[in-house]
Amino acid sequence: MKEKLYQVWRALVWTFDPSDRTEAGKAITRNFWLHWFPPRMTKASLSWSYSLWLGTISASLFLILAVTGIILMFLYVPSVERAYQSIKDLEYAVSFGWILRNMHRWSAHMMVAAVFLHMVRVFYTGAYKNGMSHMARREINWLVGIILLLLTLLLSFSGYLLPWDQLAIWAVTVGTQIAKSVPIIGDEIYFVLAGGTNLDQNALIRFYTLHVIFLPVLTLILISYHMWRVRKDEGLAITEQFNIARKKGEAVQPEMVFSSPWAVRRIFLVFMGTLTWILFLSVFLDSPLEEPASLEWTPNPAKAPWYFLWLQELIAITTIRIGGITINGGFVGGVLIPGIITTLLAVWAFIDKSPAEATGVWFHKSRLVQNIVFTILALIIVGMIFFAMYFRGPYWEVYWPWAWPELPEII
Amino acid sequence: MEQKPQVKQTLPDVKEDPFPYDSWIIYALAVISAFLLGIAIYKELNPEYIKYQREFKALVEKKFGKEAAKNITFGVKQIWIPALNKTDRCITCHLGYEWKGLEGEDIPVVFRTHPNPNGLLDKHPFGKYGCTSCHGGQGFATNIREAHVIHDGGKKVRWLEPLLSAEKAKEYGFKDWQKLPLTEINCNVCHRYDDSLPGTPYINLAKKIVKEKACNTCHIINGEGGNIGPNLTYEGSKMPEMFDMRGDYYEIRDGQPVPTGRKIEDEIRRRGLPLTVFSWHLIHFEEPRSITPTSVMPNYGFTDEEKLALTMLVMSWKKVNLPAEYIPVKKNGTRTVQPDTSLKAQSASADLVKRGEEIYKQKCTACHQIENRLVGPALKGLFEKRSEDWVLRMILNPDSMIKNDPIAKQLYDEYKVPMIVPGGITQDEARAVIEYLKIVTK
Amino acid sequence: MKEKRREFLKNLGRIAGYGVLGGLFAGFGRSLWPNILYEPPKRVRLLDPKNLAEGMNYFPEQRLFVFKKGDEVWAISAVCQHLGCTVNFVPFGGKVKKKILGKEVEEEWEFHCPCHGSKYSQDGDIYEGPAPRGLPFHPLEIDPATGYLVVDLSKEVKKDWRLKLS
Repeated sequence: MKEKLYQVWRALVWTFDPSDRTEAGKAITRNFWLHWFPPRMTKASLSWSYSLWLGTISASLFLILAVTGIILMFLYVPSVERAYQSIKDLEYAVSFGWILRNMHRWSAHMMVAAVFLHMVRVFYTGAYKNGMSHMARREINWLVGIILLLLTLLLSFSGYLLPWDQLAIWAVTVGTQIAKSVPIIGDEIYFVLAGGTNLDQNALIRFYTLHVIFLPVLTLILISYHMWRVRKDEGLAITEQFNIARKKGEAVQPEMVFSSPWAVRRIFLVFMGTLTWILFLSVFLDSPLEEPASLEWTPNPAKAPWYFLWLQELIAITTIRIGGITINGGFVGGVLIPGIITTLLAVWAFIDKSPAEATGVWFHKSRLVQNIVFTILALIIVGMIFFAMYFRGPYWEVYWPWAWPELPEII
Repeated sequence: MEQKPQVKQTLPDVKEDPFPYDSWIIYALAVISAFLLGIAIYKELNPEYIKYQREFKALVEKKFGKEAAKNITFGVKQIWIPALNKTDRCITCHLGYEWKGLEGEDIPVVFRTHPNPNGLLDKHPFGKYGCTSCHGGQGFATNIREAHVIHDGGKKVRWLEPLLSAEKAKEYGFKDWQKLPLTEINCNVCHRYDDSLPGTPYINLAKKIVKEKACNTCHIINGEGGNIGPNLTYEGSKMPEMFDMRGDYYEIRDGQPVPTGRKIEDEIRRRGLPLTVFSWHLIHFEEPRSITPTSVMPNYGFTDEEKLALTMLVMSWKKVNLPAEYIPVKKNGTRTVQPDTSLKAQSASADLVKRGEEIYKQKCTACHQIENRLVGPALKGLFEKRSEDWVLRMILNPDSMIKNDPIAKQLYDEYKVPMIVPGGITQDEARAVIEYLKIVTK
Repeated sequence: MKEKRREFLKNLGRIAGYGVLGGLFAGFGRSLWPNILYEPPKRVRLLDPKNLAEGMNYFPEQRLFVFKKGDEVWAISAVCQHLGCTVNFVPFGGKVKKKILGKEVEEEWEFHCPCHGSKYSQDGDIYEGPAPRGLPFHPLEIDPATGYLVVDLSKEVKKDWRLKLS
């Protein structure tokens, strides 16, 4: 009996734990989940210090978000009369509701950060370049990655509205007003997004549908394509270094490891590490929920979610008045500047002229200037986020973080 | 490109682990995660309310026997009132609220039977009103800090209605704070059209004052009144942003408001009051010009009790959606409806006009004539140019008008002489003069 | 020795791993079992028993008859088991001998449904009409907290069930 059970168990798991080289080679063709991988990978691709595994961290967070999100769909009600109450119920009356919500919210914030850091890593390592390869087109994957970054931000933004509290409704008011400031088509964009001229039930259900099905499916498709492209582009950019060395005449023999079980195990390690971190945050740090949404009063100050705070800061300081003409800061800081930054980012991989040697290497000296400019821009953005988060107080005035004025209550 | 292995050494034996530490790291992470999950499960099984529920069950067993305590279950409990869209979970801890026999002083306050003064509960059963309708607080919450909306300097509880507790009443200086006087505010949210109500002494006092002083002469109250002052019909729904806390606080010296260098919020703190709209009203009722120096609202010399009562009254004037079955009905089926508007009617009486003429001849003709400019402007067609309210303010407060009002400033620039009312003038006298002028300046 | 310790730690790690994933699954699953319901309660407080009239008492919100005879009370539903109309209480004004379902019985009242003609005996048995079963009886109790009479609409009891009032 025990032997039979053992046989069944082996039949199910041998692909994750192959017993010899033959099995290791066959594992990736015989297992649906593993078919993504080549039978062997360079050990260098799996190094911690090269990629920091940020892509895997992002994907792990997406998985946690999907699982917690599906459970939350049973418990949350997307109606303006009941949404707030359903979130309160999660906090107080649903078993494990609090940890469900906390895990979902922390994973969301972490994913925005992880995806951003992943982009930074790819930029610094010149991993959007093709090295000596004639087949690779990594600039396409870079572009897909930028789109994924935007999708992550949109997923986070659409989810932000759902609790229907003051934080939600005013953060989304600020965000949609930015959309409105786009010339010519701005009003129409707003009208379609909100399903009306005001943020009300129509807006809630549209944001809900975007958040639970439309954007996640789109993101999943693009994540899949993003990972498939890595295979099509002949592996991570670091592998180009071996080709470059070989071209120079060096005798190079990259160390290879079997994907199953070693790469699989390491991916599981990263997933467990991500899960541990999220559990840690969720058990000790609660998600905020403000007063029920009311368009009759604005919380003071009204702030966008942290990943948009740099935009809010820009909007506040970029209103241009020349003579009698006023260009709204909403347009300059909210549409123009981020539009320029995003476009530059998106096309950079296509116009980068640095040599092939800079592919898959941290801070190659031929890319010094672009790395410096990138760093400065990134630091400015991060700096603005910190500033707006801790130094902008009531009335959007500047205060030391420990010296925010006390605001009056009603009674 | 994946290199076809030319040398056997690069193809490892599958049992040769290239990352020997990985498994150990996974195990360590698993143990940490399990520990964290354990904490989560512990938190889930030991919410703050569970110890109260256990204590209550033990109390009932001791007092009434095991049989009576048999049906006491643990878990979140709530009173759900769909008509008011309310969910009150106070009873999760306050378990003795409807038990007979738990009134004694020896029972912890949290478990005590809810008192029934003057048959209040019979008219306001729990199933129809819940708890927060009267007491305020956050009904959704199941822990003390968030349910009672405690402001202790920690993470702010984001809920607009705090618990109208005895401690809060103590902060505002109520002498009978233990009787929860602030809850009268919530009584009047529904009972605002009753001219008096047993069990609400402060509100009754305030309504009496409003009637005597005829506040609706200047303010719209319950939808009717004058517009010299702001409309107070929904004063209780105004958010703190709409109250000027950062303006200057004035003192009255020799009858004139003088800035003290303090802001209104500083003055509130100086008196040891909480920084709230409630405190703002207390200060405003005491001396309106200390907040708005150009205000024509007089200092009525209210006592502390009267100030508290009036503040509670205006804070109770909230905008609420009351379903029909909640509208209070008096025992004989009628409700007192209209506020006293008799003073308004009075303003057109002939006696008043005669009095106004006397005062005008006594105090104003030194500088003003109807047809010609004298020291001050001619008054013909006055009410076509200026509102009644502007004229009233000009008569009662000419120097601050000249300082702050643009039209008065302009007139001063033109006429060079500040307007002075010899011997001063009371509000009633000013009104009389206006009634007279309304006729003669046509 | 070292090998044993390594084996032990490995197993600890494995158990912890499965424990975490299993525990998360179990926790998330538990969250789908509602703890509180936004529904009218099934255990309903009716009234102070000293206000109960002798004979028939009707509670329209619960659609429930509560009968009192001496110091015994019992509750029977007024919801017709055919399609849910409220049945009429039909008192006979005295004891009447009848033959119902082949048995001789003595009745003081019956329940007749006005919608499709279902007829129930004093004991709630269906003897005429389209209803598939008789009227359910629900248990009563005295709430120790308030002393009120409480009915539990989620439970059913037999037709001879009585509560003795002390």
